Amino acid sequence: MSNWPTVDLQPLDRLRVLARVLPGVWMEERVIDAPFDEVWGFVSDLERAPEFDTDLHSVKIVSRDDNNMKIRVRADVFGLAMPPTPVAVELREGWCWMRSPLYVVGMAAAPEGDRTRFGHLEGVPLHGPPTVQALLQPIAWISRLRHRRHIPHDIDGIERSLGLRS
Amino acid sequence: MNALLTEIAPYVGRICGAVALDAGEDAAQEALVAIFRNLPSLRDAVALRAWARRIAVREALRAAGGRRFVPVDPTTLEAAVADRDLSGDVDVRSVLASLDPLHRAVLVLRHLDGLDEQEMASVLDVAPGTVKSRLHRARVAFRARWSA
Repeated sequence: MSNWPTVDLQPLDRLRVLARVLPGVWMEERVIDAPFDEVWGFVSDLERAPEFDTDLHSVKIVSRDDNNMKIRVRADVFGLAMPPTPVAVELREGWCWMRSPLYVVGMAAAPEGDRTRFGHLEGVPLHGPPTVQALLQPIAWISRLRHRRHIPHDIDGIERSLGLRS
Repeated sequence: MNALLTEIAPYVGRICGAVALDAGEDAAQEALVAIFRNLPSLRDAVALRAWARRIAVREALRAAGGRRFVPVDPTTLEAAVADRDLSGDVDVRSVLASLDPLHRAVLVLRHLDGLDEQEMASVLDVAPGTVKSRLHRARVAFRARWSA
């Protein structure tokens, strides 16, 4: 009786779970009119992220070890240029999770026919005891509001970079 | 949070997949959300696993609720058993699908998770005697359908 049915959580499902449990993040999904290999080939080339995310100035890979990387990111936050920030990355086929002490970015994708279902999550990963979360509630709200506007722009940028919109 | 999800998701997936079957994906997602929303209140890894188990079983039974005791056409089952690969997923799934979700839950807790009757009773919020009789009926039903 070793082969019991089991559920293997897929990258998009995984991202949906994280979006529901991290109070300061927002997630958007869209079906992109391009094959999975083309979409994932582009978004997983992290040094090209400034091509679609206008808040980013540069992304440099510092080290790489199998599915894990360290990158250094220069970006604007709320319009202010931040110093270079080290970010830990977990990157697999269809799954990318980037984490710095104050910020997370997640991307997940899966083929949907000839097209690609793409999920993008960003925000401030507020978690901790309920009392701390209650105190941080305003930050979580601002973060969600900001990313609710920002993430669709990122996905527009991906489609533009892939030649799917002008 | 992501690392903890990597650790706990396969365990939740095993329980939800075997108890909720086709509704397993929904059950696993709901269970993981419930587990992680209350994460700060958990003190250690052993407590986390026990609590994850309890929530996964609850969500799996809830998800399976709409499709309790899926009847299996005996002729279909006999054909499947005749052609079966004894270690194949399909056969185990077919047999499990013919059982009541409550019976699937006790089989999972006993045979996949190795719990004793006392521990199973705690997870399912029932008396140990209830677990014992439920497990007995589940085993009888499983064997009967498996060897049909």
